[in-house]
Amino acid sequence: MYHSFEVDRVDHRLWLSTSQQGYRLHLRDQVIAPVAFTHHGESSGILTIAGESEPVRFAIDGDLIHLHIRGRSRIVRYNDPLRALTSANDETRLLIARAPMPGVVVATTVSPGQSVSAGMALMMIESMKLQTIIRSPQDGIVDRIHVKEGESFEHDAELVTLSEEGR
Amino acid sequence: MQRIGSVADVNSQAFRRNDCHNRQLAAELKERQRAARFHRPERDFERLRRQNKLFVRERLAALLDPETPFLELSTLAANKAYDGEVPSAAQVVGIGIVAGREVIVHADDASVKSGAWYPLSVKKIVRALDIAIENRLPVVHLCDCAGGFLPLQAEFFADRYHAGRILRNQSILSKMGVPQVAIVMGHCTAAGAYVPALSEYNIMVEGTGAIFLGGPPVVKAATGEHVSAEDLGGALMHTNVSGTSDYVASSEMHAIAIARDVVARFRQPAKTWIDRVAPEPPAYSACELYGIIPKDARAQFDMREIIARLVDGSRFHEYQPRYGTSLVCGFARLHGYQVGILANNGVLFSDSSLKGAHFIQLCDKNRTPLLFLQNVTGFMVGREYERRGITKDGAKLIMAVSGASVPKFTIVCNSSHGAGTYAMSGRAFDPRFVFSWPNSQISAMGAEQAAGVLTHVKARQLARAGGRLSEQELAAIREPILEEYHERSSAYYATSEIWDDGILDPVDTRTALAIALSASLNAPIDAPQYGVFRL
Repeated sequence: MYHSFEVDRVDHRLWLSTSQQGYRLHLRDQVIAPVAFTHHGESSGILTIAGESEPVRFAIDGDLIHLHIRGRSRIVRYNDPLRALTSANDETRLLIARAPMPGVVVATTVSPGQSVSAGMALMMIESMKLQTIIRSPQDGIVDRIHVKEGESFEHDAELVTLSEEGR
Repeated sequence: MQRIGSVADVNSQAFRRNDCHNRQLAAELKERQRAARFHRPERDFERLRRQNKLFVRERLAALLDPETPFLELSTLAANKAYDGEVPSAAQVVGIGIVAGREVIVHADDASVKSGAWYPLSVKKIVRALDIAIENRLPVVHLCDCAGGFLPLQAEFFADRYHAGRILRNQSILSKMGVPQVAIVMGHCTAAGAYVPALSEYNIMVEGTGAIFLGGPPVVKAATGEHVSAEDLGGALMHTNVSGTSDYVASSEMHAIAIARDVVARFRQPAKTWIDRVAPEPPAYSACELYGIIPKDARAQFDMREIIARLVDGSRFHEYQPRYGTSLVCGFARLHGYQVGILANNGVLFSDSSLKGAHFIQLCDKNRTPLLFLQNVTGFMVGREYERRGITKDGAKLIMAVSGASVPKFTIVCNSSHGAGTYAMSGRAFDPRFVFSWPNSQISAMGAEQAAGVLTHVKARQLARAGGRLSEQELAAIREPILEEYHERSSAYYATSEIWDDGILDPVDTRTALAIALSASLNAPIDAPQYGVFRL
């Protein structure tokens, strides 16, 4: 499985392989060798590609790499296959926030029609002497709140249903 | 170390004749391998597409690290069985690199009989897991098997090395601390259900993957219950409810990405130390092997010519060059690793057997893996040789081969017959890997000799009854025996029955051995210890 990097919204599949003369870069059908990098401090170094050396400066922020090379700045995004290959149909299931255990609704912090983002608190429940915050599984609009404050529910019951934005 | 000075005359007529013949054999091998890997009726590919499944070769390409070698094993398993309808025994097995780690890959091929297990499929999977145990290699299972091929169940179900052994080997691997990860890409039914369940990690592909002891038709027959495959053992049920599976994937590629991430968590094993220097290519081209291997299997040739085209710098430190000369013994390097080579230059005598047994013990003490290059028609027979103890000296060699703790590797280069097959580390002696060359022949006795012996026995029986066989009648007995013998002693028959781990194009031998040697060093090497040598 090749690595996938995105530059200017274009996906590039590539791989670095080792050889006796250092690294080889496989980019689509091309093989570029040798490829090397020498660190000069935390965020800069010398990149050598097929004999040509260029100084580069970079900052890595999660999957984003901010690159400065040949007088230009570029943003390179690493497409983690674990994330990139998860299909949309996983997300449809995430439109429902379910009860992790049986309990009682203490407070609801959103109302139908309200737009919410992933991780935002939807309601607080109490169960087994624990207060738990139910959070939005993804971005969307609150469609229905199934259980009122003070009411009880069973394990795995639907608590809040979302609808997708703009659909 | 001295460089072997090749005396092969590359311009001679014999060399050219051999070259032409062996290149043809290599081309035939490549074609048969290609067909076994890729040649399927279009309707089978269509079925996979309809089921939203990738072809096993695409799955493999995505699983392995790009631009790394994959040593596929037993590609031509079952090529002489089941009317040739089960290419590769519906299994892909090999040693490859996943997330930088050497692993064994075992993949059901659903394009062949929906991945059903035939007797030779079971033998191939058991062998794959034996390799994993012997070499401590983690395993990635790509499961997509319709279940056992029931009409032949008597040949793969109940015996020691039948399907139960797959589950036993998985459990032993786990006990040894060698992890396995399984991806469920189709239905895993009955015994097949335990393959992911016995793996440390397993991933199910939503929609196509399912695990159950009995599928919906079996449930219906047993209890009358109507249930869908998804409901009975689908990915969501097993990852959310039963806990039989660990991860759910939304597609096969997603599942492979998860598996690669799981393998990337495995501990990088510390390899067993053996003496190693910087590798160096042989001084002679491997292509010249084609001109050296004789067209006629009976023609004698010097194994040093083969060694010169396998080992680093063609350098060979020969041990006892003047004693027991029908067995060439010595040290060389293969991709920098020191190996001890035993190669046949003729039939085994008492002196060659003693030399071989002694050399094996030297290598074992020295922690030097052993490479056996077979071209052996057996041990010398006859009154004089028996009186000098050929059997007891052969027993010493067999005792040494059996007892050696260092990894052993065997290449069937040309002939492999009689007790010579055994003494030269045949399959029964647990070499880590056995590979054959396409020209090779393996059988208890040479075809001509066997036909001769059997015809002779028949003639004697008749003679006692006062009868005599005419030349024609003798030929009528001889011919079918010869034909049967030739067929069942060919490299293709041997590899069909998984007596080896695959046929190699001779020019690929050095690379295959390097991968095998590297894989073998994942396991520690026990201290030397032997049984009683009959002195």
